[in-house]
Amino acid sequence: MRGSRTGSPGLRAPRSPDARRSGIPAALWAPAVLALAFLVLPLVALVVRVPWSRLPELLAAPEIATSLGLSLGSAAAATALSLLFGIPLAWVLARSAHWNPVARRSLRALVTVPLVLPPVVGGVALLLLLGRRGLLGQYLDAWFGIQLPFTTAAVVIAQTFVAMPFLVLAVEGALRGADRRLEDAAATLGASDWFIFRRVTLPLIAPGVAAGAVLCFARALGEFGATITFAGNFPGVTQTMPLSAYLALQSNPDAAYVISLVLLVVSVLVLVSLRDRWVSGVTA
Amino acid sequence: MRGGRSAATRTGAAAAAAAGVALLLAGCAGTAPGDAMTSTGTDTSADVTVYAAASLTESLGRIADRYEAANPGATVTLNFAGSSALAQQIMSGAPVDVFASASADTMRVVVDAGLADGDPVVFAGNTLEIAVPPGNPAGVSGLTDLANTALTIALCAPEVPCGAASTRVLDAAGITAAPDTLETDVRAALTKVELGEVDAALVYRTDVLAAGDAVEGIEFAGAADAVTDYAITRVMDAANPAAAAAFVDLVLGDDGRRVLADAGFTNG
Amino acid sequence: MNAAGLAAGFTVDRGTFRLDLELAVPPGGVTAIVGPNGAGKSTALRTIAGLVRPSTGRVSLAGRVLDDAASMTHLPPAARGIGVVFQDYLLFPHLTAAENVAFGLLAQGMPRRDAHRTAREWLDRFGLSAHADSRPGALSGGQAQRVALARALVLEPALLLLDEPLAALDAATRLDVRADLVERLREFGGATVLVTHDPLDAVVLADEIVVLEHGRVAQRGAPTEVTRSPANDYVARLVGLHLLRLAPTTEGAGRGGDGAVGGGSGERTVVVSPSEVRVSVERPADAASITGESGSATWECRVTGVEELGGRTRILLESIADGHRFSAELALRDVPPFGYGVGSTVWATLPIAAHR
Repeated sequence: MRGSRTGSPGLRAPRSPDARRSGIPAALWAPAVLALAFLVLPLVALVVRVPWSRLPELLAAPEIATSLGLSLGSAAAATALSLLFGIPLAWVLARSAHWNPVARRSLRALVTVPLVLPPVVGGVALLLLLGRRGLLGQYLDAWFGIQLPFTTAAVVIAQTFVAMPFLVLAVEGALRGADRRLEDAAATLGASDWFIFRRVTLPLIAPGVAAGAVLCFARALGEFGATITFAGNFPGVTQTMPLSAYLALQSNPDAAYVISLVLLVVSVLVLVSLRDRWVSGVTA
Repeated sequence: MRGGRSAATRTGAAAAAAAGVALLLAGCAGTAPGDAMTSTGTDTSADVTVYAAASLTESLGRIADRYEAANPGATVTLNFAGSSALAQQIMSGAPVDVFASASADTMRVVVDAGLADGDPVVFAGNTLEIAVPPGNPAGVSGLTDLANTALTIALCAPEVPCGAASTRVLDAAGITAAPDTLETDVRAALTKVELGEVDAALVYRTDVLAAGDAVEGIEFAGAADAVTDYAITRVMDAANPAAAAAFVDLVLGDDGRRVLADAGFTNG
Repeated sequence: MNAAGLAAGFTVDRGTFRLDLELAVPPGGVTAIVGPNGAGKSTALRTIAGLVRPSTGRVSLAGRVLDDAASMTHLPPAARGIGVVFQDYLLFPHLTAAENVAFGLLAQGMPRRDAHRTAREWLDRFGLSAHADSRPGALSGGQAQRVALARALVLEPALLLLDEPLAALDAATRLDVRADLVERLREFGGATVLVTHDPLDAVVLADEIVVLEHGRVAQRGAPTEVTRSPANDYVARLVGLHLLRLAPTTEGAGRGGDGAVGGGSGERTVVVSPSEVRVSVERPADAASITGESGSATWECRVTGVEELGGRTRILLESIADGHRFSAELALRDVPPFGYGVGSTVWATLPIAAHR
């Protein structure tokens, strides 16, 4: 909330280095370092195991470019879908404060379920809904001749299913933190609800939306279980990076390490650049 | 869909199989080690840890029941997963007594690493069948239908054993299949048949039998050209070499063969 | 009821709390609603703005019905044509000052270029042209207040609502901003309702004061009436102020200091808090003339009463020259050992140019 006179003061980082130093008790350093090590060391082990001497040769395999392109494209599409539908859902959740508490909590629980559901089960659920014999899928097939499983669209759907909750929860948090009185102020200036949403609410929660989109994209990029179950696995159509890494592990571990490395590097690059650009765009 | 019954600890199964104890005792008498046979009560020296290919889930589960019935108090710990994944775990030092692989290649990896105690023994074989949803709505009749692009077809990915077998069968028949998905394991392929999401899939005959009424199997000529061999071995440095040997002998014995044959395996 | 301005009579129920209020503000009129926190001031303002629906009653503006509980009529805030300046100004933090002012024009469909030109004209008029491209975070409190005022007035509303317009400011800027606000409200032709917990703001800015207590009107009237004859102890304590009319005896004294309200015909009215009145038995050596060129004025007064007020002493005074009644509140240490006897004569010195 840059420069907001009414925003929570807690959102502002302390300006002076002294204040920042005294803000971290020594007792937190040890667990913090351990946590970081726990998160980073497995990746270090992976990087160490990569057959660096054969790297160029293994990287040149056309499957890598194909599945990387598919992964980036489908994760981007899943993020776009999540933004399109997830922001309105987050808005409804954030504005449900006056609802019946049971209804409100149920709604939130339902949104959170894909986070805790094993992705493979999520994939089966998607098949049961959208498969050609599925609850809805049978009509898609009978009326429109649309069969979703084993298509790139199915990859995007599976990724959206598991990744959208991250965006919804992040955006909902941002909405709750935003000063609603600014919307009142906009209303008294004659703005319609839609105008207010676009020109006031959305810009105010932009940092939250950006953070949610980043999480969502990252989750979509790493998606495996729901994709393999709902979309299947076929090079160039549904075989994303994680699928190709998993399969390579069965027959050619070196190739699997290289694929994992590429996935790792791409994820880090995307996350770092996206975050910096978006956040700096808001705080500058 | 790896390891549907991962690391299942099978204690207390003895009571369920009590009726078959007498028969078993007779059947195993010649091969079981003396201490296991004479033990009463809890006897951890007969405990055995078995890593086995996922397609052996039903059969080895049943054989483990019999082992436990024959060795009261003993526990069989079973870990089912894809053979390659299991081989990697064994090479990473997992504490395993017996390894049963669905692929000779995978077994060779373990042997080459010097982790097999004695020569692996082929104890069963599996052939492929075409699995179709009940009623065979797409009218699939043989291997040539797998080349029909109008049908939705699932094959196993060539990286996994059932995919390798599928490739051999199709190559031998001179058919270029038109799969819509290359599944990471045979169970995943079968699930898609059960849900009716694919018109046909090439899977193991044992999986078709295990699925019961949920799928129909279509045999085809040439299936015998690509038999998948299942090999079993004791693992080097097993905690219980005697128990491991007893378990392997049980699998290779008449009783084990009968269980495997009932599940649709050919005898190795 | 004044058909041309604001005519409101409504109740709002919030749990056990009930606000019951009637207001009639003509175009050009300024009504101040004063009262402590929780008296219902903000609810009153939000109801008129359309952000809260009244439980019963009506609100109409310039002959147009905005709320009529009986017929379930309720115009949303966006359709009311009411300008609101909120307590913390609520400027949009992601927009520049000019974009803030242009916001309402754009929302109502004015082309972007026209809206921005109009916005800049208003900022010029408010002395803010140098800050047109600043974000609210870079503005001082007083500047932010003027931007908020420009944002509301650029739409030329028939009614302007001000919620604690000076509460967010520190004491130093408050004085200037208050004086500036007096000017702006004088230029504004519509009706104004302002809410404040500070009676001084009300007295300086408004021509009618409505004192709200527990959701009910405790007293209403012109500032002089309310301050001179509080209807009850509550109002007296709340208001606690004096309005003094000073006759112009010296040329050039007509221009009052900040916070003073210019009266008609050269006479001027000065607002003084009783705590600002100094009392002495002897005529002070620096006693100034009543015209207050030195910033203070001294009267000879008779003591008409003495009251103890929890740690302070209130002395009721009457000017010997013109019978004007007011009071002084002194800390106990400022009261001589034998106190001030009722009927005795003292000298009272009042600041008339500089205010708190």
